[in-house]
Amino acid sequence: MELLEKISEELQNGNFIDVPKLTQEALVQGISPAVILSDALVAGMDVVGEKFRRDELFMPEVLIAAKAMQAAMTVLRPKLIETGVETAGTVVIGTVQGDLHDIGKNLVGMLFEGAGYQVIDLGVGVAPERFVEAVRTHKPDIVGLSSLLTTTMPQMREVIESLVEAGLRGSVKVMVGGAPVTEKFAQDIGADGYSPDAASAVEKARVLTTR
Amino acid sequence: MSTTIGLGIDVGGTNTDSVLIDLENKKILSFAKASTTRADLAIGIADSLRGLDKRHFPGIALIGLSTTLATNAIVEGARRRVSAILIGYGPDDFPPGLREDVVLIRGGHDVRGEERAPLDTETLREIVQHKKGDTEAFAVCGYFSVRNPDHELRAAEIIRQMTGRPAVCGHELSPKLDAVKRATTTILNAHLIPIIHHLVDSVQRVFLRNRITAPLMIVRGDGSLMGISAIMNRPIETILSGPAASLIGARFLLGQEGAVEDAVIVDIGGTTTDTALLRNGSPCLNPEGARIGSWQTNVQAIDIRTIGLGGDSQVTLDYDGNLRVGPKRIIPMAFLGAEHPEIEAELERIRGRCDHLPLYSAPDFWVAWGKNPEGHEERTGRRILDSLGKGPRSLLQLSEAADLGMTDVRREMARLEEKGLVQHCGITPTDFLHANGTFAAWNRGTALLALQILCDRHRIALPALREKLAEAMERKIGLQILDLILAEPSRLRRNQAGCDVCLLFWDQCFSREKRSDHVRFQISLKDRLVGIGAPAHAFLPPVAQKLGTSVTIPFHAGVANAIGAITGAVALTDEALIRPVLGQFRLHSSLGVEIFAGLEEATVRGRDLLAKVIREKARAAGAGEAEVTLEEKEHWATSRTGESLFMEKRLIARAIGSPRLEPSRMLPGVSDRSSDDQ
Repeated sequence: MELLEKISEELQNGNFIDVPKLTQEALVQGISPAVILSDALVAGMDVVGEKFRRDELFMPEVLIAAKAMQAAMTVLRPKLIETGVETAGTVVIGTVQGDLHDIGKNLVGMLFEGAGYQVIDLGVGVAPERFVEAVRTHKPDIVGLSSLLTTTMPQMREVIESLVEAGLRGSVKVMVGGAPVTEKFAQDIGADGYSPDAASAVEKARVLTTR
Repeated sequence: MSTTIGLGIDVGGTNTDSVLIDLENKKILSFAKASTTRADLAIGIADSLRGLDKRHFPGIALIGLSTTLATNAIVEGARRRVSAILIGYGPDDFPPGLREDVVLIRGGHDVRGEERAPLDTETLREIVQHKKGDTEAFAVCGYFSVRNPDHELRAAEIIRQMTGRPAVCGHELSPKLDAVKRATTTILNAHLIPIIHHLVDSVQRVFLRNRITAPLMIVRGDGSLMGISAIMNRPIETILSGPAASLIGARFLLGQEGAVEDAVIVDIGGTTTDTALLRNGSPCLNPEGARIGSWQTNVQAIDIRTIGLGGDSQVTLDYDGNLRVGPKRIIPMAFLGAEHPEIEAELERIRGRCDHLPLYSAPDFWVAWGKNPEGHEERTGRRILDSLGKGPRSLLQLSEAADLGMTDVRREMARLEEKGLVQHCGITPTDFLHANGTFAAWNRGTALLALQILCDRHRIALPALREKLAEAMERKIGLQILDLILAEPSRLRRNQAGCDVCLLFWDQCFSREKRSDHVRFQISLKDRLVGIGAPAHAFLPPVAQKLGTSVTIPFHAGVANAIGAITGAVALTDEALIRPVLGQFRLHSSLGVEIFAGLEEATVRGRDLLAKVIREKARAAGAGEAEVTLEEKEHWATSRTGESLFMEKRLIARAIGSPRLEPSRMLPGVSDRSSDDQ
């Protein structure tokens, strides 16, 4: 579909002015929100992710593509809710207590949303108790923890332990990420998964939830 | 005369076994079996003691008891008057099934052991005042109490002062996280306290009557022994006591033939087959905590797998000729024939009319069970019960008596069985063993007749039927053993539905018919099998062969449980944790939280504290000389940029010791052994 291809292309270019306009046009033309999401937006982000993995694109370019995606989602979200699109799952994300970084987390959130997940973003400096509360309330499939400071890495363990204490550990898969975090660290603290970047986070989440 | 004799007693589901062992030279002196008396276990124990050689009684210096009492009480839903004080808990933090015992109080800690809210002592006192007249035992559980036991300790102290009743804390039963498991464990523990008090009281009286004054210890679910004064507050730790004793007993018997390190213990009983592992001479424990019925606890007990397959399991053939064993337990035809030889005539009659029976029917009989109740049964039930009042009746006879089709009779019988009014009798593995001469305890003739009927009906020869049974038993037991072994390193779980390749694999290993000509699969197990239970002789050797390993069936396997009840050791563990917080180091232990400026300081204090506490606990648990070892695990993490982070230091103390023996006080001078040398 020409229009959908155009949306995907402009999204890849980071055109956050035109993408939402084109999305609106697609809706007016009667294309279903679900199809716009999967065939234009997610398809576009998939290409961005793939190119990023191959080092053909760099972070700033990923960020503006994500910004375009976010702009499109603002238009699309209400329509998706209206038509009751089945979500791929629910994800709770947050940056751990003592840490205020959010760019990576926000990107992950957008990519998850783009992949059809319902995303609950708890923000930054989130205490373990709030993660536990969110798990209890929203019953997510995935909890994503972000930490960009070495000093706040141990907080991730505290979130996991708080989930154990609440008897909720078995009901979610916990993923961790952030610049200083490593695969080994993730294993050591008992997380279910680690991904080195936002793009691979969604893929990892899919693997974790299909087993 | 020896003064180092141990009396081991196992109170199982069906039998109460007892054994006398000279603990010094490890000789088995005498053993006896009696029926377990569910209503009052002490009676069965007294019966069992009567079968022992009384001459050894003055030399008894220790008594060990294993029992399914705790497990049964929980599974059967026995409830006492218990109050559970949950501190800092929310309404979702405990199982709904235990709701009626629970009171929520403000307080509790966070993951670092810091107070989330002060302990609400005022409300606590009000509640305790209100409940004290009506509560036999208190359970006290705090949120994150294993990181800081302060609130639990204070609350328990207040309760004891106000009521004089037992108040047991969550952190005392386990150092593990998971508030839900902690609450479950602590509350169920409270329910068991009055029950175990009662048991100990009544068995102490039996011992006294027999002039035995030795200290009494009970087997815990991990196979270790604990003196009654210590176990009275922690009866939940006696779940899986019976199977654990089995394991320790098997280890003892194997040890008599040489050193034992690794083995798979298979206990084939009347109703179930249990499998468990010995690793480096110690029973393997379930890291998730013991599961009893639907309750998930954090009690450290043996990892035991149970399937509903045993000597008395019901054997049936379906329309396609597939044989099924269990899980239902019934009375074997051989046994019925021994008690009621007149059924042979009926069996002959059935055989003659065999073609008119439903295909799924083996020769089924029923006997009346318990008292014949008056009234409450409408016409069909009444006719059936009246007929049964004269003796065992076959399906055919009952159909005639009630003037009803056989399918309808079956349905009625299932209903009566559920009410506990009748017992089903039919073909079991025991009958096969009688038929081929392996067992000779009961009526071989009836077993043979019953099997012949089944063969005629399904047009299959007896040797072929025997093959089917052997295959069914070997496959189920073999897969059970594999599940246990595979779960070990990586908690692998076999998918029951199975992919086709796996099913092919199992067929190759266990099926005689489905053998491929082109590919061979052979399993080779490193560990040997050890069999206990009467049917083990018959069914385990082929399983071992299929699994490519050897099998040992020790001579005294029949009383392995009772032997294990007296040959275990006192074994305890305790933990302390050091975590970094804001440049300082926190030591978390069962005594509380202490803060230090340096890691070394914290470690030194942690070591001292643990060693002291565990020695005291070992002594209180009845150990003589305890060997204490300390394990230290430091965990450092590395960030991607290469920075080192101190994560934690875990200190684990272990104490192991033989139980303290106390020679009899009944006869003066008996403790001076030299005067008794003959």
